[in-house]
Amino acid sequence: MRRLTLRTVALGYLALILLGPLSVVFWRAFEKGFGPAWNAVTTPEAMHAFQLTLVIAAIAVPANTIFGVLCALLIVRHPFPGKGLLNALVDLPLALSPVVVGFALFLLYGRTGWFGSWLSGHGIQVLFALPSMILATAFVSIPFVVREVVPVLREIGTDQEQAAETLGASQWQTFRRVTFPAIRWEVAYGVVLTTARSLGGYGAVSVVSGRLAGQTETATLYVSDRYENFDIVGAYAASVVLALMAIVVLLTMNLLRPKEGVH
Amino acid sequence: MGIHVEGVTKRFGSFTALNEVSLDVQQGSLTALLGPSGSGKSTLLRVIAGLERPDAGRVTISGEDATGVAPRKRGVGFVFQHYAAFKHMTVRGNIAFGLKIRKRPRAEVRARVDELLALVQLQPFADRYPSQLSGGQRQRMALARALAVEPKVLLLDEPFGALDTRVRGELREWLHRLHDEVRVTTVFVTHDQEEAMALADQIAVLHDGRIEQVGSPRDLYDQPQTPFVMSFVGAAAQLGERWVRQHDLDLRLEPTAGALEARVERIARLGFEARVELQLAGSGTVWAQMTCAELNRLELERGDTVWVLADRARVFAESS
Amino acid sequence: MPRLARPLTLLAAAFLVALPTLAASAAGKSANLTLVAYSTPKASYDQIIPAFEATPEGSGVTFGTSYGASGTQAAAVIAGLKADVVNLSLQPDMTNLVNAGIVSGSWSSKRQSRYHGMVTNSIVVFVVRSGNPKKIRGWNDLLKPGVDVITPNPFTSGGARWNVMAAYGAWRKAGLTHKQAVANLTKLFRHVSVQDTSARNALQTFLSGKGDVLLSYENEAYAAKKLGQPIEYHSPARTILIENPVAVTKTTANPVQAAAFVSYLFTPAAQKLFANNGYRPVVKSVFKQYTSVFPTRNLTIFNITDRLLGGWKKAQPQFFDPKTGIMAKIEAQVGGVTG
Repeated sequence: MRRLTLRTVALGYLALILLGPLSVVFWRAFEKGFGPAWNAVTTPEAMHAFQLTLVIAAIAVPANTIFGVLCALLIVRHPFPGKGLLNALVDLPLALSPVVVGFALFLLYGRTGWFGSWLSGHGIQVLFALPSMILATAFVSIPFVVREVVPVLREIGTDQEQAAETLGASQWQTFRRVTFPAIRWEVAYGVVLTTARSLGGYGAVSVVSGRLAGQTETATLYVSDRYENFDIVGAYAASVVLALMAIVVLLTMNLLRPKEGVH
Repeated sequence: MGIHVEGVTKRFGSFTALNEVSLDVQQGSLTALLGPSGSGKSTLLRVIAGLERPDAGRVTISGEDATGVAPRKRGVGFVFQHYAAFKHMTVRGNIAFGLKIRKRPRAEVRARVDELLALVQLQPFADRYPSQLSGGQRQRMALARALAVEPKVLLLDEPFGALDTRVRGELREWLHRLHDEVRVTTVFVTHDQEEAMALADQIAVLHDGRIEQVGSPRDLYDQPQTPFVMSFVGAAAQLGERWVRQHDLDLRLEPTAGALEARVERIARLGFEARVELQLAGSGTVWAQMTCAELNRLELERGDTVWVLADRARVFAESS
Repeated sequence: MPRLARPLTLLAAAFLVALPTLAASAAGKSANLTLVAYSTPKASYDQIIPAFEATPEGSGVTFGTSYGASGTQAAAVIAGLKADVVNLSLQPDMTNLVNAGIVSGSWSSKRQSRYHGMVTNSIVVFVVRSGNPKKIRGWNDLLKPGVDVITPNPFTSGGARWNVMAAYGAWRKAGLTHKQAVANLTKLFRHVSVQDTSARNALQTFLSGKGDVLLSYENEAYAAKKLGQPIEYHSPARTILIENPVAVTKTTANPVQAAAFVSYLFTPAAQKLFANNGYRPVVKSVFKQYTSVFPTRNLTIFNITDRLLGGWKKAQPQFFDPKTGIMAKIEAQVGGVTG
């Protein structure tokens, strides 16, 4: 009886919060049939938005993966003054409003910003171009790999790494052959979360993108643009594509994950 | 040649783990670092391996100064108390690790691993993962892994510490035979004096970050230099200034010159041996160790008065 | 480990596929104009830009467009958003660009344009639910108990500032003193339940079912009605004439093409396209063709330069200075955002 109630409550909550809105998105997208939805997401602007989103993710995710693992190693394996600060700093993007992040980039890279004037003097456009969108995306998605990897690094301890060292392995060999295999599922999960966040990021990117249609419009910006211009099918169809991207990422993750209890 | 440790000091914050420790380990010997927890024995082993950097002093391995040398270049094999098995590799992968790092030809690696698998009797388990092995098997795998790279010295940190008593005994025997076979200079850390006595040619007793005494098991037992060594290596009782081993206490039924009067408090028969707890007339208690046969001869009972003779007691200089 | 390598390879592949396309779109820069505009004229430009591209002056010219709240867009351009042509909701936002050195100070002079740089006109109207259930017709109706008003935030939205000036001006025209008009304005903002960042967002909010009346551009109301939304709109008897400025930037790399495009916006052809999307044409001959769509009779349509308002030069600091303006004080009283 109690089990049944628990199940009802848990599933009911999920249906209400997750499934409901998601099914409405799918329903509205295909309300007028598959054709209009397909046409809406294959316009040059829509295609460009999806491509841009993928490019941003393709740069921000690997960068955050590499630096996330480095940060985790630094936090767990190399005590240094200010370690607590770094640890807290990593979580900042979770607490900070993405819009604030966007405005911070604005101040740094704006025409009159700290770096902006020098950069634009050298013909480098950061704000309202791909670089700032990557920066904004990387900023808001940095905690995930670090937060996944830190606990497992603590848990596995240093014994295996020291064993590898006494067996002749260099730091890099130790990392590649011993540390990384031990943390790879956490890294992979961190990558999935980072990717999901990168694909779905809105606030920070919307501030720094300039929202140039067909140029600096990511998929989420495109969705909001379509919605604001009363293109309901376009907005929901693009949302469906975004949702499918996220689902593919999560499914890939589940397929990669080893069957539990193999070793 | 072997290992030469000279004046090594290591501090962790305000705690001094090693205080100007010096030690010589003979080539091909089997040496035990014996001491209670916190005595610095593991730290000394890790300093030899290069896993800890000493604050002062020098470490020489096979005649070469190793003090500033990275662990991976010291040519040491290290076996950790909790095995430090590479969990994502099979037994074969674990043992082959050091050889693969050295980029040895595949065929050679295979042959060498097979040889080691035979040596540690793990052939049937070659393709298993560490989580599918027992503790003893894991420790043998860790040993084979360390031996694979043909280290100049083999260092073992409490190698049997995490195993149950029966497996410990077996592994101890096995390690002894293994050492006879490979003859690699071996240093192991233990807090178990029986293990040290049973295995080692040479024992270094550590206490509070210093070496109290180095010697053969027999030397340490028969000629302890300090009360700590006497009481830690085999049991000992204190009678005023004098220290004596319990089996050296001689019980008489009549008053004897130089003997202390005592009352029998309790008698425990442990099969071959027996223990007699005594309340000394002055103050304090000691127990005497004897064979059950001797106890029968004395016909002692609880409450009897006896006279305790301690002819083979030792007196140590005040300084220690 | 090879199994983890796979998703990374996929990402890298996606990157490689997408990169050439992006590079291609950036490479067509030679005659590419970027139009940065406020939130509402997108539908018009979606028709005007292809029409311009079909003219001799426009052949070979391609466009990038960005639409958003007028104040936000002006700030972005000041921060470095590349823009060849800017079309903002109101003059003060353009003045900010002039002060930042991005737009020439003479953008509204007669020599630049016969229309003082104002490319479209509109008026502030009341958008209500079909049938006007709450019978909202005049400014005082907004102050009645239980009337829920939607207007965007005047510190980000140009449309909102027009709404404020329309309300204030209407009450002054009706004979109220400055003090009384400001008191009414305060009362009005107590009826405002949602302040969106842009006029378009405010319309979205209203269409989603929130509020009894939306203060909006006539063209926004027109566009929503045309889309078949269950609304109607009325002009109050006294309302303000909205004028939306356009200018070529000094920073443009293509001044000839940009100027040609701005000139084209004032041609009858372009003005008709604006009119078809609900804007009041600034070109008189075109406007005359649309008198049935854009009523003027029985309406008092006053200008921001009206003696009672004093033009944007006076009204902007007086009402919209983020610290000392009348609206900053009102927002503080009603708990709105002024940043």
